[in-house]
Amino acid sequence: MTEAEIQYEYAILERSKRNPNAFGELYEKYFDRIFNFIYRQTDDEELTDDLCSQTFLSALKNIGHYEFRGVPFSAWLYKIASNEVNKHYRKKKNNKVFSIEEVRVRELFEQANEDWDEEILQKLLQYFKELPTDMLQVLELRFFEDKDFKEIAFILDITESGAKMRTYRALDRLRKNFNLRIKYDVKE
Amino acid sequence: MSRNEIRVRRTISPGQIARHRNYSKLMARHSRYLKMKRSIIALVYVLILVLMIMLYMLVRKAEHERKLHPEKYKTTASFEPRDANYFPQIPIAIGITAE
Repeated sequence: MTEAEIQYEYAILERSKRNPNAFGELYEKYFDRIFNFIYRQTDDEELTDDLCSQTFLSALKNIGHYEFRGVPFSAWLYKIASNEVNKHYRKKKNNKVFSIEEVRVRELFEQANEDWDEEILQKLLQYFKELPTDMLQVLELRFFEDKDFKEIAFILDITESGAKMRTYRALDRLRKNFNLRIKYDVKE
Repeated sequence: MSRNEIRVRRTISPGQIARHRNYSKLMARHSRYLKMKRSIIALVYVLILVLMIMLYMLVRKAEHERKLHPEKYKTTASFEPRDANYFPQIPIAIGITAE
């Protein structure tokens, strides 16, 4: 995201503080991404609809408190969404669900078509299942949402070095277990 | 053992997501929230006002009572020592007494 885009969004936010109708532009821009992010952690369309709506409502309620902290506005939305999902799981006391698109898994391992079979996929799923939640969250944000470490740190309320460490640790374990080429850095 | 459940699914299409996008519904929820917030603030102000009026009335009533029956509310008692030796001499330091 360029500096000009960040400034443009900030101007919309300033307008939204006075007139909530101005928030519509940001809602339209980020709805799909936030919906996908939540859907990946619920695998339930109706529940995702509720949580997504709650996320944007919380954003609107708290827009007056928003301060620019060197990360794009979307990171703030992701943070709210992540909190809403965590709140839901704490309340329901269910197992956390991570639903991954097969296409994205293939992308992650740079295995478009060749040498990719059901057995590897099942092994990978087992591997993901055994990963701690914090590592899964970091992997999700890094590889499925294409977030940089600064944003990941902001969203998960951890340090930037902590986010890097979690990602590299998870990927190292992945390398040891599977002889796959991993798309290590989407962007730095 | 981790408590996460991992599932593989197909990518959700933008059309499917669009079914859930509804900004006017969000705005309606937000204006309901604002109305409720304003009502709660108004209620709190009214409660504070009522409480202050009640306190004022209680104080007024107490003052009135005091004016009607001043002997009932006499609190200052005069103190007269029975003899001059009522206050014992206190040793200030070992072997020295106050004159």
